[in-house]
Amino acid sequence: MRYSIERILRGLWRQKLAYAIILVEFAMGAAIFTMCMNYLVTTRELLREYRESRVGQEIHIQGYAQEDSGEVGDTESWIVDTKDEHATEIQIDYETYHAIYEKYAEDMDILFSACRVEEWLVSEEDNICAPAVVVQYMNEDMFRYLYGFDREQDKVYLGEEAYQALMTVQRAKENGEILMEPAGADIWMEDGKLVTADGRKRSCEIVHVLNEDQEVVAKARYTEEDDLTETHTDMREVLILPVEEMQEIPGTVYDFGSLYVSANLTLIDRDRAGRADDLVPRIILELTQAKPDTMYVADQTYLEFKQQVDSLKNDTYHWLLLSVSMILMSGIGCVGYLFMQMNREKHAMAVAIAYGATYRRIVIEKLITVGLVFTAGAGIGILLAPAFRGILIYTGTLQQSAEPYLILGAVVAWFTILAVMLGIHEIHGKEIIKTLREEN
Amino acid sequence: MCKEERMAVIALKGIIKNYRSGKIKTEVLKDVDLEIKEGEFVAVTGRSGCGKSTLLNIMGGMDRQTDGSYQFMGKNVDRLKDRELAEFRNQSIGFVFQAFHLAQELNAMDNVALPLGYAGVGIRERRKRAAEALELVGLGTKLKAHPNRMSGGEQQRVAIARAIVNHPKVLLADEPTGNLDRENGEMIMELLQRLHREQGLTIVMVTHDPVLAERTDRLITMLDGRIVDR
Repeated sequence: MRYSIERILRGLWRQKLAYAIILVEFAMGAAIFTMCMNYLVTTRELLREYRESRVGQEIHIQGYAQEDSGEVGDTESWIVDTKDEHATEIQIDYETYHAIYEKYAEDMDILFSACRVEEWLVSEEDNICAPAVVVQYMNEDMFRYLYGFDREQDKVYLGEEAYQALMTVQRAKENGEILMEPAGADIWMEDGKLVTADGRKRSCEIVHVLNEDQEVVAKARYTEEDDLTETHTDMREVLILPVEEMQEIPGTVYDFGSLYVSANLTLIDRDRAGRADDLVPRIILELTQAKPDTMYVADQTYLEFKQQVDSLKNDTYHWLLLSVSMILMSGIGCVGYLFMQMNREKHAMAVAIAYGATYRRIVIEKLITVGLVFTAGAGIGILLAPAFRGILIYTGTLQQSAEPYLILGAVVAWFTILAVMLGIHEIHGKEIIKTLREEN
Repeated sequence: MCKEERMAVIALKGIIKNYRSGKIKTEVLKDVDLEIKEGEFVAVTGRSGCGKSTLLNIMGGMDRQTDGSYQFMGKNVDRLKDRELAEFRNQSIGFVFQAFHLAQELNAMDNVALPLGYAGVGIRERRKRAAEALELVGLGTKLKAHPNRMSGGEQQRVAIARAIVNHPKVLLADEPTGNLDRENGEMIMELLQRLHREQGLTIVMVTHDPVLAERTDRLITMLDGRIVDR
């Protein structure tokens, strides 16, 4: 054992240059590998932490119809990360909202409503002014969110004041009074039933939902010092229709009156965090693809980080591949060198066998030698990784494409493999003894 | 004590050795029976390729016979495992090769100490015993000399010192003078004779030189894998 150690150390010292080259190559490979893995693991961890922090977080979409077109299809909204004060708005159109809804409804609570505010129902010229009606199209989630109870299917909810307004319109129509468009043009009352532009007549329930303070201003839930306080929206002035009704409307031109679209998207839970990993960037990507002329920005900090990670990911994989190639090359090179050495030292090995060594012992000694070189290389590589990273960043090499290095590495690797194959071909362990006989 | 009464160190019986190269089978040794007594100095002669070296390798545990039995000091060598065989070579046999086979990067002392290393002897003891062995072969002043600084005769003496440093029972010399001029060859032969005479070492020497062969106790002649004269 002690003699084997002596022989290993002596062998290392004797072949110091070759082993030093292998060690340096391996150490460099290990350093780059450590650096890349460190980067990948750290970024993955940071993104995971961020992703988890987003669970339960709301992404708010809201907006107003553009006055020029007024078409629902052109309605623009924006996403605001409600937890990020500095979040920038993202514009979204109604159709894109639906596309997102289709795709991510499993991952998110999507609360959606579209409101059309009809302020003046009767002509100013006649000096008759009626209360405003806010027509809201919303999905069930949004209804529950705002009013605190489940909406019954096919039921239209109408606030008291909205009802009065529509009745005024009805009376005005009956009296032949001039109405401003579109007031009463597509929704009106007839025989106590609600009539929409498509001619459908529906019974409606007149309701009044308001919070305890009887606040007139509609508001959604808000969080104050981590206590969730629920207040429910005033329903006095609204007419609520299912959001599906709105899908039939695109193309309808409104001369005036703004259409207010609002949506809240909330990541549901941790279990689905994998799918919701980069939900916001994905949504934004889709939005960008849907409307490339619009600039979408959200949650700057996360997105910038995510974009940086993504932009460096390919380069990182290239560097990783390079490091693995270097490690493999040095491994193959070392084993190749070992074979070459064994080939060259056949006589010395034969003499060693003649004087008490076994072939197995000699091979083990050689393998331990290789193992020591690799262990030292790995150790040095890991220790040098931070310094190496600094050097690469300082010289700007990290930003360069790793591909030329990879090609070079591949060529060298092939030559190394070839050399090793030749080395293996030349070596026949069991035949070593013959070399002595051949000499004699 | 006459030779016949002495114990047989090496007893080979019905030794057959075949080599196979693809479909071609070569019979190198054919039914060889041989006994070497303790303290004998035996010369093995014969033409090239007659199986002398193969016989020597089998005696030294460097090669295994295809058939037949080999006993060393009454113990069956062919049943030894690789590790035991290595120990056998280390403890009982000393090899001297025609081409010396010294490690060029090691000095004379370290070359001689090689078998002691495999015997597990500590470095100091190794050096002491190596120095004694070199002293015995007349190279006490060249302990630190490297083989490339030595003459052929000196190198072979270092090889002999290496062969005897672990006090083996048998010294197997495969044409020890083959690479040397007459003067150096004579010197080596004298050394071997001295070791045989003074140390009582059993020596089996393969040689082509009939003059040297004549100076041994017994001459074994081989022809086509058989012993034809002993």
